[in-house]
Amino acid sequence: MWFYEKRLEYPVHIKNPDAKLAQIIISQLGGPDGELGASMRYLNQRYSMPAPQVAGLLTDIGTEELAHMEIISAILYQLTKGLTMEEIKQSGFDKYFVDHTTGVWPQSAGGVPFCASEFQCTGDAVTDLFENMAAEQKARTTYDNILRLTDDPDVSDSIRFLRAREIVHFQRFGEGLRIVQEKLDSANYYACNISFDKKA
Amino acid sequence: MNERTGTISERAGTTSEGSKREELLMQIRRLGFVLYDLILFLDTHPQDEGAMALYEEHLQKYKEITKEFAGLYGPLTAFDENNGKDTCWSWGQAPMPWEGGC
Repeated sequence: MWFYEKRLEYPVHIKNPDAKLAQIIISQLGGPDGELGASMRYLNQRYSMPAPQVAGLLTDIGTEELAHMEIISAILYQLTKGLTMEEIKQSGFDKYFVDHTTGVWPQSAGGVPFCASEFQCTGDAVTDLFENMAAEQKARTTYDNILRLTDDPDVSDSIRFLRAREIVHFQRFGEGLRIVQEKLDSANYYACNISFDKKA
Repeated sequence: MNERTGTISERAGTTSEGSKREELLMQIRRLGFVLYDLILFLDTHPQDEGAMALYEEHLQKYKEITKEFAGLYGPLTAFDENNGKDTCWSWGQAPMPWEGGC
């Protein structure tokens, strides 16, 4: 069960709309390493996570990712608010506009719609936690690239917060992996399929 | 202190009220952030007494300030006790956070 809290985790105050920038940042909503995939990855992995402590971590990080999805969506909303038709055509935003007007819809910067294939839930705790650590690093790289592509301080401010959270989540998942590995059977050198094969 | 005039959006919209609202909300966000970061830390360090004490301390402040905010500008969650005290349903009236007000 979830409750909604009517506030952003980090504020978004963008003064200047910029359709070109919105087309780049949309990747962190529905792209391969975006926040929608992050939240779905962690929330789906909880059920096959054998350590309750780590299932709790997946819940809390997955929930924070939903808040990050809302921050990215707020950035997209504000970057596309009040655009003129001329700006829409000149920036190349017309290709998105024709299907969605300025509604917020998850796709990558290259126009690929969001797809569940962008994340995994293997049912294997060790595999999933390595996936999560990689996912946090990939998202951090994407945020670094967004910061290289924008000079709008209002946008960079919110993006820097999101980038810093990827680093914290990477650290916490590393600790989660350690917790799971400590509980492994010492004969299981390769740390394989500990959820499926464990004795009832 | 708890006197209400006009709708929540009107109260939030005027300059002085708007900045007081934003100031309180910034404090809520700061405390909320400290708490959430501590939650993740405690998930993997459940024996850390220092972190638990910090969590308790900030949770009390968070409860006080969200209560003050709800009394002035309407609730941040639908389960807030302030929801039933207005003449109309407060929860639906406050501006959505992506509008830049929050």
